[in-house]
Amino acid sequence: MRRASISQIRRLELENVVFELIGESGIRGLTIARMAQHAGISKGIVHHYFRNKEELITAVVRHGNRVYSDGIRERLRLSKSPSERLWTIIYGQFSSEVFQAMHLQYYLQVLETAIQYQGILRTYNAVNARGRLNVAFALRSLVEPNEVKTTTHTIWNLLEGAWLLAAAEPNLTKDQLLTSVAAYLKGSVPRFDMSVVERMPPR
Amino acid sequence: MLLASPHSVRRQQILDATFEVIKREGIQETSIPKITNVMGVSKGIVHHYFKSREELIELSRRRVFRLRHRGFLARINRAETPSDRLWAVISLNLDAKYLEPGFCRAWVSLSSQATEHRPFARLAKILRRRERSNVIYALRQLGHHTDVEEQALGLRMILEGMRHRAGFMALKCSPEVERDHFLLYLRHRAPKFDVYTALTTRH
Repeated sequence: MRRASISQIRRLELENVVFELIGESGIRGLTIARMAQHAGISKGIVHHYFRNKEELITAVVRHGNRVYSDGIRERLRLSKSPSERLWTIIYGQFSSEVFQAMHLQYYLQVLETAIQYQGILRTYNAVNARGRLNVAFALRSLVEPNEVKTTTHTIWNLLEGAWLLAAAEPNLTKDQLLTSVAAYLKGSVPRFDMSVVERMPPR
Repeated sequence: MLLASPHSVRRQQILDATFEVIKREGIQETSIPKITNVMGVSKGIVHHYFKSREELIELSRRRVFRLRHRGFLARINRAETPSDRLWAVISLNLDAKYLEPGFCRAWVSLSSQATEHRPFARLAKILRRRERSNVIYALRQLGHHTDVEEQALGLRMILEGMRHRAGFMALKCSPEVERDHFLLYLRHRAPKFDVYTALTTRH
């Protein structure tokens, strides 16, 4: 394995600090100055890694995705069937590390800032495309080739919709949301093995 | 017929221009100078009609959702069968006016702001509750009785997911394609829904 350079390590550290910081000031309160103060380093150094607010928020998107990917990596490695892979990818979006009230608010705020900042939107889309690709890959052996695209489309609508709804309606539980996704798979992906849902139950 | 006064016409023009800015930049970035820029008028005019930026945004949002609700009433009044009723709710969301990037971004921006501003939160809650009860009512009339709540949640997840796609994903798709995906979804999740309704309804 190639060793990470000091600058890469530093960047990762700083991305973690960004995430800590938004816990206090929200996405909108993210500034280079606050960031420097919080990390106890000079503005110049922060500026070296993040040129502006847009890049700070982009770091939030990447960090959020990393938390998600780290959470499912081990399980994906151990999964034995396409059904298990697919459910791991879906379930990961609702794990306790990822699916938190604060994160739902960040999700909304990141989307809101992406209206204005093209760079955030681009990174968001890159991350998003990777997620959909993973779903499509797992589906390849579960549905007919000509159904992969359609099924991925609907699963993705359900997942993003689940996040948007949950952010707006705090009384919705991940249990309810996952049950709805599972119900879709049961009806539309006949080869999907429902026993994996029982092994990784909604709650 | 009562003719609209120049006063109210002017007010409506300003409210429409406000929503145009919200669609393009999000609520956070919407300001009176940007609105007057769109209209090509002086800032003084806006202040003559409206007390503040907040009042302007609030009234413009109300106007848009009042018009949207009128669209819903027109659909539901023409509905004869339970399938028509369910489709009235869904097709409103699929309307090209409401499934376009600007509106969908404004929608998410409103959701995000609703977590901080009470009046936004109240209206968002009413809208959501109304949509939810309409879906549940239509599903019951269709003869779906078990798990109606879960079915309704799934439908609403898809509706939100569609808006996410239209507003933020690089890979867009037309309302017609989105409709076809929805119909496939309904075939499994609400088997008593008459697909013919959706394919023949004209709005």
